[in-house]
Amino acid sequence: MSDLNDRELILELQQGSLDALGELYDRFRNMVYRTALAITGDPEAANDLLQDVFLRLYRFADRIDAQRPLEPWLYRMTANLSYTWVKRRKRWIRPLEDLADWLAGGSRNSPQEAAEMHDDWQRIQQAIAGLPLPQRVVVVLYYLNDLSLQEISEILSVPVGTVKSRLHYGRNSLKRSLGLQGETLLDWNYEGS
Amino acid sequence: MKAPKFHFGDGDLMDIFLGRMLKNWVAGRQPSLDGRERLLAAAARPALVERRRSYGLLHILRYLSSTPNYHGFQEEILSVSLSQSMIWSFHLATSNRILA
Repeated sequence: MSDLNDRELILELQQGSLDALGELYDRFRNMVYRTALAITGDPEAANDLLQDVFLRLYRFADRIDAQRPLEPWLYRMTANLSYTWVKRRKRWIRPLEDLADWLAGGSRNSPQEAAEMHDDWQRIQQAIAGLPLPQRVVVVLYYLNDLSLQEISEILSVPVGTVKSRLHYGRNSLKRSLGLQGETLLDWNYEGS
Repeated sequence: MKAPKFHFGDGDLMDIFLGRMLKNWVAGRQPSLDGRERLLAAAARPALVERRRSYGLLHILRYLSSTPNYHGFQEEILSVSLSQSMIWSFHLATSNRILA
């Protein structure tokens, strides 16, 4: 299977081939997982979403056009399922967590965890999680996945102007919440490229 | 999928930074090791079982929608993702047996 291209694998998938599903999973799992992780900020949710995306790929393979690249379909499904997950969490899970916090006297984080909150990466995660969901999805697709405005517009089925506007506000919001100025950008300590 | 990047007019530094920041944040993060195995096992589940589970779900949804107070609950069930709807289906299939 590894010698087949994506198009050939989709055709195999449409015949119900589990080997083709496994091969496509191997090729795209990191892309889907990291996108879901960046949107949800939750590794367990990202694993569940990864399963959902590929199960849907298998179940709805006959609706996929094998002549077109698979990535936009995968991004669309990942973004939609991540949207649903985040919205549901906001509505149901977070109030329960807040209640648990209240019952525990508001000290869910251990001293070590509290210290880690000052870590740069923790700040980034919080800054991204603080973005409104539509902005967060656009920021992730644009900066993490290097998609163009046009590609994001097609994936999310929204006008390019809307993508541009969400990106603009998301970017400004990140800049503010991370306290980024010109010189701090140069000083920021990140690993290589 | 690569295309020229959009520029904001205030230099590329912010764009480069945000791109690197996001990529480094998730770099090296891997999905669970048994993910492939779990996926193939779930995909191989016979379609008949799926249909019966779906029937159980629809049966209960019809039952719930007949009571006005449950409309919000119904909407919530319909919005759940596949893995979660499978959990719902498990409960609902059991309920279906009781109702039958």
